[in-house]
Amino acid sequence: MKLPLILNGDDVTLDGDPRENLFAVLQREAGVFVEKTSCRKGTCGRCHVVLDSKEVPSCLVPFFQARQREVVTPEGFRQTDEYREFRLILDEEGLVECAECTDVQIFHLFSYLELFPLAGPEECRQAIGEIPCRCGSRPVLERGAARWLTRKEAVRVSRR
Amino acid sequence: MSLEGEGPVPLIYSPRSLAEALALFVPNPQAQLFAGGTTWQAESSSQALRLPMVTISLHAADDLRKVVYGERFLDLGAALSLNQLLSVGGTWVPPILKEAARAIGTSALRNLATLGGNLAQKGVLGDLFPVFHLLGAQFEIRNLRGSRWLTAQLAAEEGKVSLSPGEILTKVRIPQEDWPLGFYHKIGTIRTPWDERLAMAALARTKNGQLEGLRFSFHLPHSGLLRVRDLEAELAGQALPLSHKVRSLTVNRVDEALGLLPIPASVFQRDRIIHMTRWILTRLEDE
Repeated sequence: MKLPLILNGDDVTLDGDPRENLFAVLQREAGVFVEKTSCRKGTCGRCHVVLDSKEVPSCLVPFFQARQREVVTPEGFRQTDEYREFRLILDEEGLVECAECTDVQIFHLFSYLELFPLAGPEECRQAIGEIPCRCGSRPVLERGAARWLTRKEAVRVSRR
Repeated sequence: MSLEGEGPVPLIYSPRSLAEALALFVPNPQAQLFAGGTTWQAESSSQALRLPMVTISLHAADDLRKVVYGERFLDLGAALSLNQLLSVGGTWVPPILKEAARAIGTSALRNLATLGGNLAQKGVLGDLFPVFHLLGAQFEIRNLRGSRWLTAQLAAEEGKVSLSPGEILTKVRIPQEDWPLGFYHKIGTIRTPWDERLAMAALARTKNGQLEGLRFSFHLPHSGLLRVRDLEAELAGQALPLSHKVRSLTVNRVDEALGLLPIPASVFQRDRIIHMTRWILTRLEDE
């Protein structure tokens, strides 16, 4: 079954069985999530994508539901200005990059803020806590998120 | 492409409305519904979903995601995702319902998981049952011939909203009532053993130092719902703070009701229920 969809801004057609999960098809057909495994429970965060502006675990989305929808992966998000700006903040906060979870955490945080734009530091802290992390970078991310919210608020006030 | 060893590729429909979905049952009476699909995939042991031969996926049926506010009722579309429920602004959605929805999974999972999915699967989740039960909710179920309403109490007794072939759970109707105090607490996740999982909900109203009304219930995944309505009626009108005697009696009555459950609660669940009952009574005094 070949399905058209928009992957990280590009029109693509991916081939897969409709019963497969989106994660498996993206990995095999589009070369994303290379060297990653998924928990297939929707809890590890490693396979998250943004599907039509909503973050979902791609291991729980059947491939057939991706037809003509827009998919953004953490790889795609890494190319955005938002990501670069936030990474600068995190670097200033002393982030030691973890190949396993740094990008997953950032992707998750920004997807959460997209859905709940008025979220405060406490809600961001809870969102960050949803992704399992063993590298100990959560406090840095929480400080970074608090700075990011302050910056956004300053921009909002200056526009009024 | 099709997967080896998984059998023939099933027929999958993605209707754009409830009417379209219902019409699909005419040529496909044995078709099964697919909403968020979080449990289907999580229970699958391979990279492939075990879909029935004919599947009706509701992800594109927008009219099943409507939120309608009325003077007397709030109607929530059954295909509304839990995050869509959380995003509803204003005071229309009871805070306790939002609290219960927020306690389910992660934010990403809540973008997939639907209200209907939580209600229509026995024991797997069911975290929202105690809340809907206390709020006096009703569930609308439709087929091509018409609709029927199921009370949250009846559904809770069965442990899920049971659908016959050709039926779709379309909406949840919640009466607009004022419950200024609401408490929700959940123990365990989908990975926790059944006998260590529990959800508790409580609603209360106080006025001039009196307990005007109190509703509370516990949901045990394998035993169903525990609610002692007689006790709730007896507690209404009691002066706050509740006396030591009233509190002891309340705990004893809950303990007695636990003994009447068709499938007994585990030691852990019993202990937590007693503890949470005391906690609710203490919180009332704090308020």
